[in-house]
Amino acid sequence: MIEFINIIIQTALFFILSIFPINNFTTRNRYFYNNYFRFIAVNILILMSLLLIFSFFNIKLKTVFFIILVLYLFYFLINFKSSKFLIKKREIILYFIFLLIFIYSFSLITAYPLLGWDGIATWKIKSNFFYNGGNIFEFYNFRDGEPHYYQYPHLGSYIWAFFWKNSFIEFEYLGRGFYHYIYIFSLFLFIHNFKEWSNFKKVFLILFIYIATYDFELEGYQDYLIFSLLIFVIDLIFNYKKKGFIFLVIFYSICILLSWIKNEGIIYACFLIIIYNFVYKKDVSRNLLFICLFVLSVFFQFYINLEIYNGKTLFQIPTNTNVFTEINITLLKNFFLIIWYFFHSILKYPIWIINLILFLLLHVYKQKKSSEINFIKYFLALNILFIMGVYLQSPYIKWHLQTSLDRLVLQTSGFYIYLLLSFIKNKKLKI
Amino acid sequence: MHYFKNFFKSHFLILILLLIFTANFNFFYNVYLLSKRSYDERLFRSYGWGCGGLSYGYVKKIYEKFLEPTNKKKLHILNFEVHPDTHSLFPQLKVDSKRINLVLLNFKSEDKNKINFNLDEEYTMVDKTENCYFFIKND
Repeated sequence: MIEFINIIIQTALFFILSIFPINNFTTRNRYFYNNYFRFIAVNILILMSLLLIFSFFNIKLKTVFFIILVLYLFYFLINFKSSKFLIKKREIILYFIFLLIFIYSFSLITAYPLLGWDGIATWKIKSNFFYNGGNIFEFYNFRDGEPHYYQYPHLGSYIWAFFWKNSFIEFEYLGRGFYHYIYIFSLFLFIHNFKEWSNFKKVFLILFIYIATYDFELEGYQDYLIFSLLIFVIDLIFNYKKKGFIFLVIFYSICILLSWIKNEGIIYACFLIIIYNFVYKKDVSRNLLFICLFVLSVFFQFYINLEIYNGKTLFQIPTNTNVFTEINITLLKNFFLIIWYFFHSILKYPIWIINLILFLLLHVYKQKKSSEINFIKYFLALNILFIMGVYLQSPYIKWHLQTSLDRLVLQTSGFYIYLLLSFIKNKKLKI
Repeated sequence: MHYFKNFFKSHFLILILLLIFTANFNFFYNVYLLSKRSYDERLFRSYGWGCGGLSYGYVKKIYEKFLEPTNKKKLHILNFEVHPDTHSLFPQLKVDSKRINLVLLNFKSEDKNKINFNLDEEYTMVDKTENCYFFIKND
């Protein structure tokens, strides 16, 4: 029973850290008006950004926790304004259901603390290292003269270790619970856009998406963090109408965070930045400072891999670029192999059935072209190119497809489901 | 009372949905497991009691019996079946790159040619359970 009480305490900790520092008492920004879920999303991003910054310094995890608490308290006291905004009664039930579903999910990983393959082989090793007071600039896993898994970014493992260390009983799953928190929260962030829907419809869709995307085998993996951050970014694109300075800060923060979670996060972040500047026809010079920051962050990661860890490659497997010089039957065969395994992945994560139907409806009903829809369409096109590029040049394509394509497919699945929002908003189709 | 009646009426379908979800998650059983089984037991059940697979139980035994008393929490683990590294299940356990404390998991006699050192001459066997062995390097 002590463990169950600790689950409740840890849930309370996640919740408190995500309702501060930005809330209705400290901001008047219209983006947050009438939507407490957006406050939580931005606060999660602030927390993750702070943890990313602290991960580069040699500070104990417990000290980091207290620094964050003091910073939040300080910010709250300085910016405190009285607020008339209250959560609607109808919405309170949604917050309650959010916490309930999270506790269900948390209790599952607590009762069966089993990690997936990469969870044990890669991410837990990093997490152990940070838990024991390690620093990113040291070799965290040194084997027979070679550092292992240096090319994987560290933010997810640092977050895991942070919450693991800052819990009462210090069991590893208490840190990993944050992955579930952000994942389930992202589903609520999406569903909260359907303002006219009844709570029953909302909860039904959440449970459907949850069942269609959750995979117990991916415990300890970082894919749900990428999934959630991509939902955060598309929610921002859809709902932040005036794309000013604050928008840019949040948008580029997500891009930087993505790049420090997994290697493919760098690619997704690049896509987001390119598409944003293309679709919204923004003067690139206006974004130049942010673009520079992102590029610096990526190069810093490469620098750590190549210079500090003395790594030989940035990527996980050797590449076989000869594939592109000879267009032959193998290339064609590999192409169909990718399509075949993509359909495998759809069966594993049925959320893609909805996504494919939405893309089909988009084509059939000829929706009024909005920037948001274009954003999603371009992202899909670049993502297909990325997947083809990665797998066509892989020397062990079949093994590679079997072990990783489903995860790549899962990561972006939440991003495309926002097409549903455009149908509802345009009211061309009634669902 | 009237408020609760109304609340129940308006959220009846959601409650049913959540109840189905609760059953699907085995939530109450999971809470029961938390109170009945210790964290260690749940780890044993997840990763194996003794020798085999990740051999969590065997490595845990070596860790508690031989490493913790001496406070030299370093092991070099070689698993001769394809499994992720058991090391990561022990946060305090470090990699013994000098290979002084050696654990061989799922090791069969024909696997001797897979290792690039002389096990018989360089090491002394300290513990054995089925196909899992703990060796210490000779001085």
